[in-house]
Amino acid sequence: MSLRAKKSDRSHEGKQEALKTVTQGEMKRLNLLVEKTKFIKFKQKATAEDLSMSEVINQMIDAYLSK
Amino acid sequence: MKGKTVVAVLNQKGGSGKTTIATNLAHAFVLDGKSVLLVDSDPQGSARDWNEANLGEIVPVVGLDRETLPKDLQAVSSGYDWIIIDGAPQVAKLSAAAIKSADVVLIPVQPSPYDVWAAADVVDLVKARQVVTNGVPKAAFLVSRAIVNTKLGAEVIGALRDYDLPVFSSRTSQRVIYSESASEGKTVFVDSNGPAALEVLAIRDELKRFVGEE
Repeated sequence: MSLRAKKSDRSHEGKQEALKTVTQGEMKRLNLLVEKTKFIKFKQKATAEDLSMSEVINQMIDAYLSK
Repeated sequence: MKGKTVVAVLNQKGGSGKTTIATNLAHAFVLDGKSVLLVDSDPQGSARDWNEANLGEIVPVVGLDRETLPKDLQAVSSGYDWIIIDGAPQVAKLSAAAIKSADVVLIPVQPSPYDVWAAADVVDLVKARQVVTNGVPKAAFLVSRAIVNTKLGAEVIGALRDYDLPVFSSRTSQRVIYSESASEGKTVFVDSNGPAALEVLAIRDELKRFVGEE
């Protein structure tokens, strides 16, 4: 049997992270002012759900833009 | 040709010849009268060790082994014609950062089934990047440490073509001078008319044609 190329396997975690990075466009920093207690609650809830605050904000922006 | 060309030498497989190709290619461009920066993005720092061994006399080398490579590179790359990135042996964020920085990705592959199979992941990353950037970086395979006139060599070329990327016709072969010259912090141009030097010059010239410089 002749040698063949390997089929793509996207399952392992490092590769998934790398795929996410290469498909990402240029990033811009977003600064916003939030009332302190709201900030603390937001941070605690995001952490409890194993999400970064940036991920949550990005989800909100995606939802807003898709309206 | 545009101001500078960034070439990432990438393969997750250790021992595929990344550093050998990166250092020798960098020297080949210097001999072509070009201004060259070698970027060591491998945390093992082999290119930096090589640079220390030659007291920095062949080509400037900087270590950028963080995910911030694309931005860091912008800060240090001004004035160079060619930037060669010696990639990390992994498919993770460091490789992704190198792909995002590159105009061209060269994927060195030894003529062995393991190397052919290991190339699948980096090919996947390059193609994913090309989709969002309209085809940048260009990418090609480079057979390294080939043994001349073997059946496996021909089979490897066939298998690499299955990945739907071009395969350079120039290549490096199994020659002692590659490791001997590296151990002294030098390149194969210690014997500037020898077969290894001619191989590297052929790779340099094929790369120039690949990016459209000539």
